Amino acid sequence: MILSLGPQLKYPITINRILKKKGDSVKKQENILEYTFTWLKTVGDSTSEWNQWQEEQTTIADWDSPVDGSIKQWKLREGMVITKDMPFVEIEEACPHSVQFQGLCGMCGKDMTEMSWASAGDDTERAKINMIHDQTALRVSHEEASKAEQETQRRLLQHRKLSLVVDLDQTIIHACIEPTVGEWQSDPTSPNYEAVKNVRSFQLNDDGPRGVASGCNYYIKMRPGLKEFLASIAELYELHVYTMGTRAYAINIAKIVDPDKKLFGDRIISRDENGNMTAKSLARLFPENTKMVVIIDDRADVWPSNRLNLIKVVPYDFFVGIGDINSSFLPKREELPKPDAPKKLSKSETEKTAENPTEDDAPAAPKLAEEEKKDESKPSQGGKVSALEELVRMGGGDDQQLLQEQTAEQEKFLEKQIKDRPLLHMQEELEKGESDEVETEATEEKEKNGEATQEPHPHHRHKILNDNDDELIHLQQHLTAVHKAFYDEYDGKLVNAHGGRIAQLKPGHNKKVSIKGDKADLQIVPDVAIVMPRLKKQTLAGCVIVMSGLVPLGVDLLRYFNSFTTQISHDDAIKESGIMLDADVVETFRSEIALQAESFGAKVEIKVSKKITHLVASTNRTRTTKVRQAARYPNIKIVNQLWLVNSMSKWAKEDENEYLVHISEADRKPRDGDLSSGTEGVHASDESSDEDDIPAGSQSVSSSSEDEDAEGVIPSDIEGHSPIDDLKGFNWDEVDDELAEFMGSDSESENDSDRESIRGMKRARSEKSDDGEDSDESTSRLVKKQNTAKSRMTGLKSVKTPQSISSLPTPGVTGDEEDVVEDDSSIGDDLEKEMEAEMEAELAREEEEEAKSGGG
Amino acid sequence: MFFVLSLTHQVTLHPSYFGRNMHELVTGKLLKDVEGTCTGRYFIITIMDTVDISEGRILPGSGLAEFTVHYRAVVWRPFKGETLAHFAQVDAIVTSVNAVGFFADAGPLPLFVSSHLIPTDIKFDPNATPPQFTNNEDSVIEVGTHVRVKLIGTRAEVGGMYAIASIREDYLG
Repeated sequence: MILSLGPQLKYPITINRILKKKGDSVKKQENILEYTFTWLKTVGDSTSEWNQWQEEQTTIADWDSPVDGSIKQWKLREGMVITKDMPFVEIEEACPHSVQFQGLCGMCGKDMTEMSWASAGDDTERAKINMIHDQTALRVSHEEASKAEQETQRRLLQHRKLSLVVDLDQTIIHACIEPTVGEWQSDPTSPNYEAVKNVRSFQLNDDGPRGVASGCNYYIKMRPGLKEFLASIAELYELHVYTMGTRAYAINIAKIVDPDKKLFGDRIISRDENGNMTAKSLARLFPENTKMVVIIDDRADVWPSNRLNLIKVVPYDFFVGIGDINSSFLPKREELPKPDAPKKLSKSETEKTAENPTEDDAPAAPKLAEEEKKDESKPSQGGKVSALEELVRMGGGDDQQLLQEQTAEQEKFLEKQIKDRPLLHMQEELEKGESDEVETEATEEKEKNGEATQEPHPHHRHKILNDNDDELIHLQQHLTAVHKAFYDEYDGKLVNAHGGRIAQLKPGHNKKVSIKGDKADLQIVPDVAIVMPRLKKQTLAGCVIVMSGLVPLGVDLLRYFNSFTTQISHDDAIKESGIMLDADVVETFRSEIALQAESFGAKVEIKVSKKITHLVASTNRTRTTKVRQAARYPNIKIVNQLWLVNSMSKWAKEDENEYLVHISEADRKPRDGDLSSGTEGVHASDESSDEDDIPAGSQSVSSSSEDEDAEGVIPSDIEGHSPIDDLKGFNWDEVDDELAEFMGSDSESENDSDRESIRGMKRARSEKSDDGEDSDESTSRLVKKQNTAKSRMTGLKSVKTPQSISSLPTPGVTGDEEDVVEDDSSIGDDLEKEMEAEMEAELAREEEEEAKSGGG
Repeated sequence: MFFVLSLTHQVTLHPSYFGRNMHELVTGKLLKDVEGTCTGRYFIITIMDTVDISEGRILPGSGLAEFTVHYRAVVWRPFKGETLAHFAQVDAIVTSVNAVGFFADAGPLPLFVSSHLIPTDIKFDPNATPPQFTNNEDSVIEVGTHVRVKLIGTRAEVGGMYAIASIREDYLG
């Protein structure tokens, strides 16, 4: 350690005496140098100014050593005059204090927090890297850390391994605390018995107070093929666990996954030791260099600085709708909307309505979410439970800067899961759907049942839990490929580095041993962060992709646009929507899916053009502008998002033919444009999960896809045609029935009216796109209906807040929908009065509507 | 090292406990409050007996009674340079092993032995399960092993103490 004199001395100084010779040992605070300096002192009578004068004084001072050690070299001689701060002596320290435990030096046992007048700085600063899995109190210095790391690297190279950091939740296992699972397990007659048979469980008792969630069972489902996967991967990789769960949780999982501690050993790091609640970082485990580290995780966003080392895994979602129990406080996962076909129940759909509130039904979207919240409170409609979870999670995302709230957040989440038991409800829902309407039930019950039957998927599936996940097989292939590529490159470099004769004499991997200890061998180690992306890039290389209907709009944008739609005329709104969509597309570039696609070598574009090779469209929004534009270019393959997902999962370009989106012939011919958005589409809002088998052209308008619809009316070449042509075939009787029902019956649940309003909106839009052109008789009826629906809707909007508040605390109400509805509306009325000032215009319309409904 | 110390402690008692068995309650509360705690310099291992319990004094404002209790207690004060071989008939027990060193508990005292303070022939073996320090002969240090250590340094914080220990000497390990 080289010491310098320090800036605080009164230069120039003269070195008087050097007290320690080279080789002498010095103690902390011991005098090693004597120097003199001169300064001016004011002397004389301090009371009168003219009796004072300045006199030069010479003072002898000492310089004390701030460290223990021995003098290695002096850089000055006695008698030298020094004019400025300079390094003057090199001291070999007795102890570099490079390992510190709780403020104690791990090597000499000295207290590092002690400060004295002689010390040069805080000694604890000298070792501050935390690189041990299970301890936060132990810190090491940079040198120590890189030394340890080099050792690890050598060892790994010797064994031809890499490091693999493994996430737990939804990557290799799926956990939930839903008690229903336990019941299913003990009941062989349950339809889910087969699926949950292998679910393991444990209790966390040592986890501190948890409210309702304390002492509950954690049910752990291992991803299919996990054992084999880990066993074979462990031969190529040294495995580390890095989870956002608590330590106790992580250890329990490790016990299940790896009972002999053969795979993970003690290399487990949890959020207790992570030091950051929202992000994981390789630097926590590999502070100096991450060249040989691969990560597998189901979330890319928690690895902000280590994206290149990451293999993103398709999340394992065994307990449908549960999500990740340990990341309820993380920002919501950005995900592709799930394709409906293979999915269960209405989950994917409700999820989408909650997370893709779209531009056009912006006023309706919050209401939808709220509607789902209300559903939540009535367990009989539990099929939609996941929506609230999404909301809760989204809320968690908003709070993410309030780290201290996260635990509470999670607790809430867990409690909710225990109370609401979403799985149970889903199963009930499903069974109800299957048994069709039961005649004996009361009117409300019937209604509810009807709703339930709308939701289930077409193939009668008898259980909601399915165990058909083959992600690990692909993952294993990828990891093997990465490992191979890494060592191929390493061997290649090794041969080059040692060149010629030696390389010929010894095969690559033996040599590593021979040059062990040589620094050079670590420098030629290739970087996984370079090798792996190169592999991935081959996957979609040459593909130029445009995405359509996959990326949800940002909430802020939504609001902005919303204010426009309500204030300005519709045509303006369309223009506006064009602008907003551009902004949205900018957003797309930063969105998870685009980043991912790019990491696989694809080029993501905003606009459809000739250069595009693939258009990735959402399965349930197949009639967006982009799709129609793309349909005009024969070279563009229009595929659904599964193509992208599967390609990225398998690291191989999938055959597009299996994923082609059915494009109606109308769309192939540009002139025929927008015509077929017809009857079915209007109804599709709630039943879209039913209709996967119906050709895409006829079911475009799901309630979540309206931004695309807005987009859809932009192109000029479509304008000459009226969508109302289709309305001729519309079943007006049905509408009338609905309308009558809606207006007349109080027992109708508000959900229906909400839906009604959305439909109304939609009709309004499809019609407005060429306003005033057609004076069909049906139009006026439609307008009328639309107006009613709209006004009804705005009325609902005004009671939004009280509804969500009042309905949430009543989860126990099962059959009494009527009551709930009445409660809601009465409270809503009260609140309307309160909010009168702001809501005047809307209230007026509300009254109008009420008058009408009284008449009907 | 262990000492017997005469100590005093202020015990407060809620008015609802005022009654005939008050002194027993005071003693019980003392045990609960004090035993097993760390004062920053020593651990109070156990209370032997109470020498004297003063008269209760009502605290103005709260109504609680305050007793000053004199008691004798066995305390343990870890010293620098002390060898922990005799602690409660047991040595320090290893709790965690990693490349930098190993952690152990000597009763209430968590301590750390860095690899610099482990004899050079005992090396860290990361391939073993569980990871261990070993000299490839008879001595193996893994989780659960009892080790005889010598304290190199101690540090006290309000709620506890920490120590650095060494096994790099004869008759340690």
